[in-house]
Amino acid sequence: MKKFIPYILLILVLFLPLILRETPSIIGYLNLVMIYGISAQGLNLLLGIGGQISLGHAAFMAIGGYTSAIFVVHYNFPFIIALIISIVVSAIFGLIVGFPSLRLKGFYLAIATMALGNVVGDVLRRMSITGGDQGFRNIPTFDLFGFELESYSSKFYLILFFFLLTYFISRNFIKSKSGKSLIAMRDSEVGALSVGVNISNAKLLAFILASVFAGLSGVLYAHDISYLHPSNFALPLSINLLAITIIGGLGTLWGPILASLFWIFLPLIIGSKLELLSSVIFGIVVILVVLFLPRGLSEIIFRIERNLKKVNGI
Amino acid sequence: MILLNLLIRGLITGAIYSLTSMGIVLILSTTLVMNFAQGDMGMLLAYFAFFMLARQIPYPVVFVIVILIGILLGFLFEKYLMSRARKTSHLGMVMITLALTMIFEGFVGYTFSTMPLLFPKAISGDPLQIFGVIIDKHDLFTFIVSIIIVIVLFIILYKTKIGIAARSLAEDEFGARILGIPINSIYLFIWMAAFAIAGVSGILVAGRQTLEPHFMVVIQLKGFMAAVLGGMNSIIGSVLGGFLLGMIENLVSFYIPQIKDSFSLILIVLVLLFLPQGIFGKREVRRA
Amino acid sequence: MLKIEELYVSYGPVEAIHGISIEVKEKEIVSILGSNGAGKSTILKTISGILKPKKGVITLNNKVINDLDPSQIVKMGVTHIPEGRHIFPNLTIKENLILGGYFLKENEVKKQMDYVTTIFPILKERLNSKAGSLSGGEQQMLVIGRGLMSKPKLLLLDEPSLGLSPKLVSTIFETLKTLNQNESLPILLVEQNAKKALQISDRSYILVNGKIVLSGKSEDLIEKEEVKKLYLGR
Ligand SMILES: Nc1ncnc2c1ncn2[C@@H]1O[C@H](COP(=O)(O)OP(=O)(O)OP(=O)(O)O)[C@@H](O)[C@H]1O
Ligand SMILES: [Mg+2]
Repeated sequence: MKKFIPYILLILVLFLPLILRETPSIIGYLNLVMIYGISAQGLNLLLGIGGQISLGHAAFMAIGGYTSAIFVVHYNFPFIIALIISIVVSAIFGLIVGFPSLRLKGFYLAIATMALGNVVGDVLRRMSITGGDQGFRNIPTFDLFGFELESYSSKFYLILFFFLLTYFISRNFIKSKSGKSLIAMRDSEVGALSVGVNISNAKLLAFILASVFAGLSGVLYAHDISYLHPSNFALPLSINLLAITIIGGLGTLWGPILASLFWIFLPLIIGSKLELLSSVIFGIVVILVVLFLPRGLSEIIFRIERNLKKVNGI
Repeated sequence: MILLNLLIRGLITGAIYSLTSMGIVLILSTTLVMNFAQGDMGMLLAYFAFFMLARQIPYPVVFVIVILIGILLGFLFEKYLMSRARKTSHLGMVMITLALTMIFEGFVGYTFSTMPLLFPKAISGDPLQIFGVIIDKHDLFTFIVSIIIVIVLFIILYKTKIGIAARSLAEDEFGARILGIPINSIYLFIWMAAFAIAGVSGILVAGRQTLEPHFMVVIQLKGFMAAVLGGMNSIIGSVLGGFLLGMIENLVSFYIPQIKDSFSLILIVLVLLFLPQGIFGKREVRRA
Repeated sequence: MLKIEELYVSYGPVEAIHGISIEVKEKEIVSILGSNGAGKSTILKTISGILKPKKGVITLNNKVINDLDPSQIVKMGVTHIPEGRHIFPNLTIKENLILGGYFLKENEVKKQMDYVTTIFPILKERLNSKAGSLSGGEQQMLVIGRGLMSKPKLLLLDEPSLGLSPKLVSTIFETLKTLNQNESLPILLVEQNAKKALQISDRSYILVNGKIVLSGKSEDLIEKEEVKKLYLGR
């Protein structure tokens, strides 16, 4: 029984656009959930597995999104090529930040990434190719070999594809030698040595994955929303992404998506009048999770799993 | 003359950075927590101040009340949040300070709207001209108050038992604990001090720009950078780092305006790569 | 004065002390001997409230102190001088001493500091230099001096001889003996240097893997063949 649950879930998700065809805007929101979920998953690998705190994660999203937008709009590259370029660019940025971070203690990295986020925003504001402070307008939607994805549901499947891809990459990373050594290192300095893997490489890999995920998420955002503005990727988003990984449950695979579901739908549920309060609620939830629920929302999944095991008598 | 003007203005900006970085390092060196709420605590208190001032309560009274509220909030924060989070995880403590920024910014935006407000200066009127240097009166006030706060904090840290104990905690927590030093009271004291300082810098900065929910974010970033310059573990270093940063920043934005924005990152990277102890930092001391 | 009965202590799931009983009477020097990892420091940390016992009772002058925290225990007159020094290197020697007497009144601090600096004159000469600038031996004196600042009624001393030259070790042990005799200060001493410890102490306990295997008058133990073989290297 338990074995089939993921497949049943997957099928259910695949049919979501059909089920929700009366309310396509919900699909639109789900697309955003997955986009932010991808980005948060990257941060989760960096922070939850690698134990490194970044306050500039949103900047990596901006780098990915703007790169793709520039190549598609100004150089008429096909979306797929622009996507690949963006990912390479993100990876390079990840490497550039990742290298010095190997030598830095935690809080220095936090400050450096925070400063990086600030600088990226300023640079984007000053360049003309990015649309500057006016923002980057009219970014075309996803174009897959001539098929333009216009509807929410067609975008849904593309974004779902990338979401699943990042999910499996993350899962493999956590189970890999590098992932295990990072976890051992996170849990105890001595432990990592006994695993016998080059920690520097593992950390670097976590960094690159984190920035690639963020970059990919930025690309998807750019073509989904069709508009980019530097202020959308400033410190508040980076903080929110951190909050998402914490609320979801640090180092858990399902955490990022669960928490980003919560993050996106919270303002909708409490209504536009109270929208500003959603950040207050979100902050309070972070505190509650820190104090009382170390595995965050993923605790729910763990509980369900445990109950299923009980039901099956395993 | 231009140079002198730039340096003086740099000192004034630097005084503000010093206040913030001092608060940050005070917390970081004793509790090892990066306090991301230092800036926004100041923002919140500046809003309180704004509404007290709007009710015609005199500036000096508001000033004192803000310090008292800061002390109270510091007390509540340590007593009901940090002391609990300390038992769970270190990252959790850092996250709680981040959560505070979300709560404060959301709360202020919701209750007072995100529209920029004009915050009164401590002293208004025409700028002074001293030896050819033009100084705004509020800026002068800012500078003097910052210096006073720095001196007061130093007297506390070096001349009172609780201050000396706070410094010992920064060096060797186990050593302090075993002497029977009431660690929890010390934590209370430093959070109270840090948030009181936050309140002061909130009012001072608000008087120089406009009041809006994000107005302390950049100041806080600069505070962190000043702390990096100062070595992250030395209060004196953080104060000097603040002044230095203020002056360098003014010079850079005047003489090489092209790199004005990226300059902060460049500086941080240079310092971290070549002077990991900061310019004024003391050698890393073994911790138990 | 201090009585430990059937004490068990664990670090998480791992039990380090398995039911020991120890007593220190008025005016006594009592030593606990044992090799690395035997659990000596664990016992002292439990007495001073840093660690909490899993089972057992610790009483000080017939008052149970199991659940008190370190500050309260220091206030009751128990001072723990830890192994590995734990001085505050960037604080001055004077500041280190002031913290040792954290619970004293202002005028008492002065008096006590005078007293401590007559015992360790080297500290007097350098009151305003940073503690980190002292040599290893001087730092050990500072740690003991700092411990004495609180006017202890019972001193817990963890391996004061560690890393010191034999001559310094003798000086420090003589100082301890003098303190004990002149001030009637009871001392619970933890040592690996068994010979020295047996020489100055009245009674000793020998600790192996968290259990007491032997105890008695130090002058008797020093003659025991097994003690000689195991700890005195003869
Ligand atoms: N913080 C800790 N966490 C887990 N185990 C610990 C901890 N501290 C000590 N131990 C274990 O408890 C046992 C006793 O340690 P303790 O420090 O009391 O020994 P000791 O007799 O003082 O040794 P030494 O002479 O080396 O100081 C050892 O096995 C040690 O590994
Ligand atoms: Mg020991």
